[in-house]
Amino acid sequence: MNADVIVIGAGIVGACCAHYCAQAGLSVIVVDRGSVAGGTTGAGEGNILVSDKEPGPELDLALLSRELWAQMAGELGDSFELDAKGGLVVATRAATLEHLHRFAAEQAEAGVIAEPVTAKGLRDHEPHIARDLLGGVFYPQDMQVQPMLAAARLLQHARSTGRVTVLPETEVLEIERDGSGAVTGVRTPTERISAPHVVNAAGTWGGVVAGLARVDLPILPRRGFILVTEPLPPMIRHKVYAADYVANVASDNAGLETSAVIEGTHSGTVLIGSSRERVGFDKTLDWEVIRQEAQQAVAIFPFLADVQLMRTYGGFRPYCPDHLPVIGPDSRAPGFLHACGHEGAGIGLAAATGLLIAQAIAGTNLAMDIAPFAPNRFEGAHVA
Amino acid sequence: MAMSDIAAPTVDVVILGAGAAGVAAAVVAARSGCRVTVIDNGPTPGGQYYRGAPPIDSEPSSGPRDLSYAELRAEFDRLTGSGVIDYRSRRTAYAISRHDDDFVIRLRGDDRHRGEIADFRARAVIVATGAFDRHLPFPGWELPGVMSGGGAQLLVKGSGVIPGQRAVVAGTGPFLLAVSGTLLEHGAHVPAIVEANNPSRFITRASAIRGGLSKSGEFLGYVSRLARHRVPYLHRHRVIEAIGVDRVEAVRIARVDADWRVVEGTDRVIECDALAIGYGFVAQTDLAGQLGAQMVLGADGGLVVDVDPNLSTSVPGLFAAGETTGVGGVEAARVEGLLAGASVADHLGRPPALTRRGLDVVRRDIATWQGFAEALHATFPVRDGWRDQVRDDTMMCRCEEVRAGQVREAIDDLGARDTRAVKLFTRAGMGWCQGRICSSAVDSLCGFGTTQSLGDAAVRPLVVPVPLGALANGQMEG
Ligand SMILES: Cc1cc2nc3c(=O)[nH]c(=O)nc-3n(C[C@H](O)[C@H](O)[C@H](O)COP(=O)(O)OP(=O)(O)OC[C@H]3O[C@@H](n4cnc5c(N)ncnc54)[C@H](O)[C@@H]3O)c2cc1C
Ligand SMILES: Cc1cc2nc3c(=O)[nH]c(=O)nc-3n(C[C@H](O)[C@H](O)[C@H](O)COP(=O)(O)OP(=O)(O)OC[C@H]3O[C@@H](n4cnc5c(N)ncnc54)[C@H](O)[C@@H]3O)c2cc1C
Repeated sequence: MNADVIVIGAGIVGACCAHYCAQAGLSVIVVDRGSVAGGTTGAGEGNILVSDKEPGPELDLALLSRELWAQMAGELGDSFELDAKGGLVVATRAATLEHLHRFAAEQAEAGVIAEPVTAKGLRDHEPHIARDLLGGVFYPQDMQVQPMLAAARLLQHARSTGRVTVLPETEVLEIERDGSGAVTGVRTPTERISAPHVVNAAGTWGGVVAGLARVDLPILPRRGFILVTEPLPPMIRHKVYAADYVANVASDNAGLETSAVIEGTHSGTVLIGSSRERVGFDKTLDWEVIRQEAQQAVAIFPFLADVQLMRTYGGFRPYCPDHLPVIGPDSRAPGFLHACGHEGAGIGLAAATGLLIAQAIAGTNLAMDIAPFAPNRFEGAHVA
Repeated sequence: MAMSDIAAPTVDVVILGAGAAGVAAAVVAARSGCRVTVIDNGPTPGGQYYRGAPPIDSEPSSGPRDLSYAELRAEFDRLTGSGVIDYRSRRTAYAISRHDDDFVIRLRGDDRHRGEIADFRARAVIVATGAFDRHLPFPGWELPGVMSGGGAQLLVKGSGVIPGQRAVVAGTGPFLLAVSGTLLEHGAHVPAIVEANNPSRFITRASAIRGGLSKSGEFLGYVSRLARHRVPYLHRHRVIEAIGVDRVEAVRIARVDADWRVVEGTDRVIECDALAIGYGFVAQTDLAGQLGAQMVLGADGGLVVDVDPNLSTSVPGLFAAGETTGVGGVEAARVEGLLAGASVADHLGRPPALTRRGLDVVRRDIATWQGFAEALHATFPVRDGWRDQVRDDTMMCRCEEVRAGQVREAIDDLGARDTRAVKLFTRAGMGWCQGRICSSAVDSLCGFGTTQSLGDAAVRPLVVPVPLGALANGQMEG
């Protein structure tokens, strides 16, 4: 078998890479050792956020990505529950509110629409919100999708172009390179697939996959649990979270951090996410995490106290030491590109990532500067 | 991570479930000097079989007299009354986890007291949570008036209400006869019992095992009772459709071959106003699964907890007894409970109250009932042909209203290759029943059927839902 591009990983990032490569006229083979969307894409939420990002390269990527998400939803019809519902960030303490307003002003300068909301105004946005909150900021650009469906529908659509083949249950065992160091293809348990371009879209396992081509990439797991309630009539309109969340996202703390992010879904369930912990790949459910998330959610929406928790699930966000993803060609192995390490924003950032990868392979102008995401930026750096 | 101590008391053994297995285990463990807490979600002890009915002394029992269920139950009541056994009814264990070397068991009150939650710490645990009905979807099974055999039995025995005047009983296994018997007793007319397998070999198989004779006698007793009521007992027939607008008005049945594939041109319609369906039982493995205990496929192809000859699971200190280790009837559950009680005492360094001779009898009985269960499952297996009768518009998951076509699409078009992905794409198994009704059927429709896939389908982080407020106020612990 052969193609122009092999994409390793059929999560949301791999799906977006395949989508844009096909659009650029490239032939693509997507391989995944399991199911489509069976990795972290099937273990998290589908928030597409600008609200939680400070000005800088990640915010630029997020702003580009949300435009592309809206476009893709238009192209594919309403097949993955895209909902441009907006985000409401609230503060429980005066100091947090002040910090939030300052943060929002900086974001506004970088192109984010951020509307300060008074304590009373919160209720116009969310009628059932707690009365003792001090105020917040509304971000109309925040959206959500159903991430598993998004990945599957994008791949289904890409296959319909005739240029894309998807091979689930196909593990890449080795990435082959020639004498000059350039990649030439991959080896699976049953065959060899050749291609001049190989994209590492293996998410949390991106470091391991990079190793299959004998290059280093520091990608580590950061665990998170999500709570799912019984289905309810619509009670929560936007995605609502406490301002402390932003601090946690950017934190370098290895210990447990929770800050409730609350949202309704199309099926009526309410999702409460999500904790952040660096505990390796330990899947054991931690009931202290559940308790804290429940407590924080009830503090923001008191009616949730009587709502039943149906289940929990969790996964491992792929993170890099500097909390930026790795996107673009790897100068250490010509033909090898990375599209991984998006931590807790891989759904949101996937569209722009896919576009940039396709542009890098096709040799067309890049939609934005990808130097901050360069794969070799960790060379020589001390990795904790 | 900083965690304060668990407020709840530490006991030696928590026994989950007060059915035949749990009651037997509790008596032996308590008599061996263990501090025992028994947790059960029902109002009284007895489980599926004995709940409601007062313990009868005349039931067949091959073991020593004082180990019959009636005797065990009497002793259980005595030990509970004197405070030796701490028995908590109307409580559901919704989760279990490890904490240092102990187990932490999380309880929720019954539906009226669902906000009452409490934690327990125990050095050892016996899972004796029984089994629930296996459902095999077919067109129309979601119509009102269609219910599981276990559900019908519960309705009639619990409230004396019959599900309908003309109730067809269908599925496979001697259990259909028990359900029909109950229905007839309470005045319902049973137009037909529709058995998908050929039961005639059961008598020979069951009689061949020591002690099996009483069971095959029981079976023959049922059959002659049906004959008295002139109820046709159809073999190698299946209900392939339930027909009706607002509720079931008739069923379409057809002859099937040994693989349960329909024999063309044999279908006919039987009018009825109720349909009780039973295709065996699925072991309730979720609590053991939360601890990562190893599972295996039981004799009926369903997932069960893997145990060694002492009923110890792969998790040290965790034991399993009764239907959780394999679906084999109430006698098997009782004798397994006896052994689990002795094993847990031994694990805790206490001399088991059963004499060596007693233990020998118990082990021999377990072997007998295992043989009986094998004969049962060999005669009344679930065959793949049921899937052919599932149309694309057949409901698979009733809670989330997912139809078979969506499940097939998840595999063929969306790239699902395991149970978890099918569930995520379709939402099958995400509703109120937590996948108890549809998960194993979805798994089978997809053609997985492995320990791994069935294990994934049976994962339940919460055995039952719990209010967020109760969790938020709960004790600080891990
Ligand atoms: C609790 C939680 C909540 C989250 N919430 C959000 C959110 O609201 N918004 C957001 O944007 N992000 C969120 N995320 C993060 C987001 O889920 C991830 O960043 C994103 O899913 C990563 O997608 P991916 O395609 O890179 O990786 P994955 O989806 O993990 O895909 C990688 C694939 O590579 C495959 N693979 C690995 N090794 C091999 C190999 N050798 N051969 C073949 N295939 C291989 C894997 O099987 C896998 O399917 C959350 C994450 C968690 C855990
Ligand atoms: C309608 C019907 C008729 C039957 N007829 C016969 C027959 O004629 N002959 C025969 O041999 N067998 C028969 N059986 C099978 C028999 O009931 C079982 O073999 C027997 O009950 C198994 O005993 P057990 O202790 O393993 O489980 P069970 O009796 O099921 O007891 C388990 C107990 O645990 C409780 N429980 C479960 N989960 C939790 C939790 N998370 N927290 C707290 N409590 C929990 C349950 O409510 C139940 O009380 C019949 C079953 C049914 C349903």
